[in-house]
Amino acid sequence: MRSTLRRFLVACVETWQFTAVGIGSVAIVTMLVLTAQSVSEVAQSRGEVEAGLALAVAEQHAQDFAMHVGCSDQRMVGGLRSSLVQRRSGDRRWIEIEVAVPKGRSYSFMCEILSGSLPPTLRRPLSVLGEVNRSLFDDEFALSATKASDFPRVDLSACNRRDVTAAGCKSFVHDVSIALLHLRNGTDQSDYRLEADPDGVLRPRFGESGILVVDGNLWVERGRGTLQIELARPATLVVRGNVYLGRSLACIGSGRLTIVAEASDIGEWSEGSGNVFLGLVEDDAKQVVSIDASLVATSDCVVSSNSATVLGAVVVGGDLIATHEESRLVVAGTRLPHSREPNPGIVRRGSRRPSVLVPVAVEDQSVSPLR
Amino acid sequence: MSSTDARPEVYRPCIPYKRPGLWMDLTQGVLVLGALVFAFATIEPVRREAIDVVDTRRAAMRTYSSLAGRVERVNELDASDRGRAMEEARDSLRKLQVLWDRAEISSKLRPAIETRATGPALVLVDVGQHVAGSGR
Repeated sequence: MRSTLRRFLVACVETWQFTAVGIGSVAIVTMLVLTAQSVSEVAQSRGEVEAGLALAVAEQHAQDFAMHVGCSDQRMVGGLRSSLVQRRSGDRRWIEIEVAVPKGRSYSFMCEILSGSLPPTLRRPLSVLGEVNRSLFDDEFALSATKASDFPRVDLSACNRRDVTAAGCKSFVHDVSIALLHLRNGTDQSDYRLEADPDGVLRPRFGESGILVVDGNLWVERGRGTLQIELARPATLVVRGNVYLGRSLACIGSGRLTIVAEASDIGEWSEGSGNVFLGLVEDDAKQVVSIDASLVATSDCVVSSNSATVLGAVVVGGDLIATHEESRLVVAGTRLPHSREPNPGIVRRGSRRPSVLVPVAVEDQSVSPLR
Repeated sequence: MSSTDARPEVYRPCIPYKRPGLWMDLTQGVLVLGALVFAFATIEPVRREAIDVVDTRRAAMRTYSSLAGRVERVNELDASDRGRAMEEARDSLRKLQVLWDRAEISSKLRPAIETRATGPALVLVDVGQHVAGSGR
């Protein structure tokens, strides 16, 4: 035992320098790595602050330009130089703003000059002008009062008629039998159903205007899973009839969809018009639908689904009706449009303002201190 | 000379703490350890401060963008709720200004709430306020 201890002590004496050098090296490397990490974090945060300040300065420049408040094309704010260039495309006006921060780095943003903001009803999860069937909701909640003047109005005057009609667009199939499958007496108007591409994704061609008009009823037939709609920018689907949603819809891409069911102005129809049906009408209330879009019904919104969830805004000009006791509506409001989002065909209100700024390109990635 | 004398001398310490040069080696070790502790003690507070500044900067920028959204949404509220919302926004602005100064984001720009034709807006005010440009 004694000799083992002695041998151990001897070994320690002979190797302690090697051990010390090893521990010292590890400690030095650790310190260097930690220091480098924090230096890199500081540099990265400076970059983030620069980008944030550039966005704020560009936003102010765009706001002032839209409102003509003593705005020049070039301005200097807190050492950041902001330059503005206008572009026109038809009736639409765009501006590009470049913000240069000291030491040569610059950020570019683009936005459209909008005639006003979206109606407030499109910014709320639920707005109903008529009666609300409270049994649709599990929880009691206070529904804010909606004025008729806040109801979104559609204006197609700025659009080319050829651009906006859904006829001829392969995503909308004229179907003479679909109404008879779901309604005892069928419908009087033309019926269209949404038809996805072979890969299961729907790609409606909204064209330059971002609007499509369906002259008739629109059906989203039941099917397996969610029907995906690919949209690169905000789009509005105006249906001059009823909208029957029997399947979940999800938007993929950077666009958002607004479906407007307008009461037809060319006659009286047995099935009515301007109504949105969440769940197909003859449903036994077992269907579950989730709609990733904003829905505007100039007439009623009828919920026959056991569980209908709408992620965008629900705006109802008439009543909100439940067909079954089990019917439930969840107005999640998680995908409400921004008040400064270009929403084609929806009449804007208030004074001119820029749309949400979109970063275009960043030049010279070198990080420079702001101060 | 015997064959034993010709053998090179190999150091084999029998009593470790009586090894020649031990005190020199121990002193060297203590000095190296001291240098490491000193370096760590110098670097660590600076590193912690840098991390704190980074966190504060990020928090300030996040607060700025969330407050900008809140101020913009004030217009969409009913007149009855607008006053209360603006009061809350001003409270948040005061906290943001404190955070802004602590984060040392910019000595020339400060956040403020301005009332414009479109309603209240969160803006960055140039403390030195000078505008250069071509005019429209």
